[in-house]
Order: sequence, then C-alpha cells, then structure tokens
Amino acid sequence: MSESTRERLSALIDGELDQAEAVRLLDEVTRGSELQRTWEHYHLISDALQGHMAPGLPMGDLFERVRERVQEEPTMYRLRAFRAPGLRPLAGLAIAASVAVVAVLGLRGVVPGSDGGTNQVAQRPATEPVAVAVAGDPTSTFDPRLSAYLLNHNELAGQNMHGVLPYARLVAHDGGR
Amino acid sequence: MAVDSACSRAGPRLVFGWLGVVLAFASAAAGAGAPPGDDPYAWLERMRDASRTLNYEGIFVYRHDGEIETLRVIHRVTANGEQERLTSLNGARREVLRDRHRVTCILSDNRSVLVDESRSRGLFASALRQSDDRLRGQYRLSLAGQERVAGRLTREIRIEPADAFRYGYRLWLDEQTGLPLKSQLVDESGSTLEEFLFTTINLPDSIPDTMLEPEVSGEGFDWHTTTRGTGDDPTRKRSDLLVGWVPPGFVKTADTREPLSGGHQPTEHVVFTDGLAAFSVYLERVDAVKAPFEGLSQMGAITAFGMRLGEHQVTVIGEVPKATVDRVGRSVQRR
Repeated sequence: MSESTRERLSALIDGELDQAEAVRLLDEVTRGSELQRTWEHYHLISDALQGHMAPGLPMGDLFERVRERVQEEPTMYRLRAFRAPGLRPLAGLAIAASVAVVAVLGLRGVVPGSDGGTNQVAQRPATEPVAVAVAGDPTSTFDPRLSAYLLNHNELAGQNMHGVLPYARLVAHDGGR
Repeated sequence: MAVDSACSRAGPRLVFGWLGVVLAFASAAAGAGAPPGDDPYAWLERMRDASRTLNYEGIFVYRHDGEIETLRVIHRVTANGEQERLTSLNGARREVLRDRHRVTCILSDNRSVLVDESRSRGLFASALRQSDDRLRGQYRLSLAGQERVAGRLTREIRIEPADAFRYGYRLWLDEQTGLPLKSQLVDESGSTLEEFLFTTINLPDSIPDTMLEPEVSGEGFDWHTTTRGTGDDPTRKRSDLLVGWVPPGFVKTADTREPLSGGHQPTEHVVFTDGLAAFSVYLERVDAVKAPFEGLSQMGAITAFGMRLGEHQVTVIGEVPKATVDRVGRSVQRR
C-alpha cells in the first residue's frame, strides 16, 4: 500500500478528508481486503492508544499486536502526533472531531444541571441556554432543542430497520454545528 | 415498530421474537440459513431476524449531511436478551449501552450519563400483523445485484416509495446471514440522505461480558435517570392529542403520556409507522418546554417540525420528508 493511501486513511479516520474523497476511499476500503485490514488496524491503534479498549476483547494478544502495528505503521503515528502536538500524551493521537464536540452541546439541552450526582432527576433541568447558535438556513441544521425528542422517538420507534442505526444517529447527533 | 413486513408469513416464530427472546436461538438459526431466493419480502424478514438474533462486532461509518462518523458496534444475544454497545471512534468519546432494561448514554466530555428505560417491543406487536400488506401498498420492493461489502457478499434490495411522504431505501444484505451491511436512505430526487456502511464485521460465536462494559465508568459523572410507568397501561388517562392527518398507510403503534428524558413534565406522545418509516408526535404545555422549537429542522434522515398550538407545543419528529412532518404537525388538535 502506498504512503499516500495510508495518509488518506489516517485523514479519513480523523474526519479530515473532503466528502467526495472520503466516499471514494470508503468505497475502496469496503472492496479491498488489504485496505480493509489496514483500516481496522488503524482503528485498533487509535482506540488502544486512547485507552478506550475494553479489557477482554477476544483477540488475545491484541495489545501486543497493536504495539507491533504501531512500530510497523510509523506513518500514522507521526501524522497524528504532528497534527495534534499539544494534546494529552496518550490521547495525543486523537483528533477531536468538531462534530462530536457540538453533539455534546446539542445534548446539553436535555441534560439537567448538576444534581449532586444522585441518580434521579428531581427537578426541572436548570435553565442553561443551549450554547449553539443555529446560523443560516434554519432548515439545514438540526436544532439541539430537539435532542430529547430524538432520544425518545428512537426508543419507541427506532426499532424498525435494525438495532444499530437509531443509536448511530444519536451518537452522531450533532445539533447546530 | 418494526414491523415486520412479512410477519403474517413468519407466523408464531416472529411473534415470539417480539414477546421476548425465548426463541432467539431458533430465529438465529433461521437468520443464518440459506438465502431466501428472489422474494425481497423474505429478505427483509430475514434481515430483521438477523439484526436481533446474531452476535456481531464491527466498525461502521455513518455518513450524513457531509459528515462521516466512525463507530464500533458490539451486539450480543443471550438468554437474557439483546445487549448492544455502540462507541464513537472519532471525536469526543460517547457510548450508548443498551439491554432489555435500559439505555445508557455516556457523554464523557461533559461528564454526564443519561439513563432511560428500554422499551418493550410488545408495544408494537399488535401493529405488526397487517404491516406486510401496508408495506406492499406503500413501497415497491425489488432485488438488485450482488456487491462485496466489508469483504462479504451482499444482495441489494431496493425499496421505492409510492408517494412523496416517505423515503426510499437501498439495503445491502449479507448473503450468508441477512445482516444489513450497508444501507442508504434516498429522497425523492434520488439523493442519498444518509448512509450506513460496515467496513469490517465479525460474527463471533460468543462475546465476553467485558466487551459490553463501558470503558468510561461514569464515576463522578452527573447521572440523569428517567423512570416511567408502562406506556401502554390501559387504565391511564386518554391522550388529549388528536392527529388530523397522516400519510396513507401510517397507523398508530404507540400512545403514551410521560416525561421525556431529562425532564419531568408529562408529554403526550403518539407514534405512527407505515412498516418502514416512523414518526412521533408530541404535545405538551408550552410553559413546560424550556425553549420551544418552531419551524422545520433536518439532520440526515431525521426531520422535525415544531409549532405552537394555543397554550401547547406541538413537535413532530421522524425519518420522513419535511413535507410529512409539516403537514402532520399542522393537523394536530387537542381533544
């Protein structure tokens, strides 16, 4: 695999490819077995380095394999370290997608203010203006005030096609970017 | 909802599937069976079985509105029901954990955990029986070619809507198991609104508990739990919500009155489905809504419409075109 393909993969995982190129590359990923393996490895590396991997994955020597992979794949390591020089030491490879950040802002609208860590919502959410300005065409972005409805709709109505997609929408929910 | 297009043909097996997980393993065996020939309805039925009854673990991308998200999913079926863990791989760490009792959303970067009850699919069981006919009336299904997705051979199913009040679908189903490995939602102009695509997938015989545990413990986070009574309690007060118009083929599958996640004010809520698409209609006192939403909003396949109705707020949300949520929303009245 060429160096530039690896770099494109890395950029794809970081969400830094433009739409057209991302679609082309994803198409290649799903067709080509070598590219697909590399894609998976990149994600494993990224995950493990961020400390996100749950213990007990049925992969036995996963962490060994990841370490080996990191040695085999210095390109990706360098790329990411270069792109995010100031982040946390281990998570320094994680390039935060702005989308995700905004998603949490979007969900903040439905998260009540701190209630001291108890497990019950005892009162109305503390009034906290939703920190997302919806600019431009009001129909082109998803309004963060709708998060609670989306969550609720998913639970009651989202079981039609398959179990995954409704929650993908929720995890990816990026109100008002 | 869910609604199983082919439930009338599926008979008791599918009904049991809805009532519990009693026959999950029997269904799993069916899901892994031979490809169901050239009947697209049989393919859809098989897809629904497979999604609920197989163990799988993989990475997929979800593309919408020019954005691409990468997520990992782990799905396990045991005698205790389905369990699922969904984790964002790019951006801030977010996880959704789901089992038959609850749905937990962990938002690590604002140190919050949202916990909601998992809903009984039995709510929809009564609506399932006619859904096959309903689906046949509202969509044209056809089988298309084969394609390799995530290294596996798939068969494409095309689902075209009969009118402009619902979207079309293209599904690429695993030849071997029926699992959807790729899906696209298509609007009336033929544009893809969202795409879901597995780049890698494994079908392990068993999945250890540890893989379904959240990586973030949530300790020290703010926990927000919503608890409710059963939504289909027959003795509860009749809903005040009256929906004057829905597109042909949509029927009501749920009618509840309860607080939304994170809130405590009761909200009237009804769900309609045509067998594939679904939308929800909410009615609540406007003074109970922190920041009422008015107008139209869209993200990928999801559209929403909000409107003031006297002292009440109407909200419609679902995976249907804007024209649908708009017209449904404007038809809402209080009894």
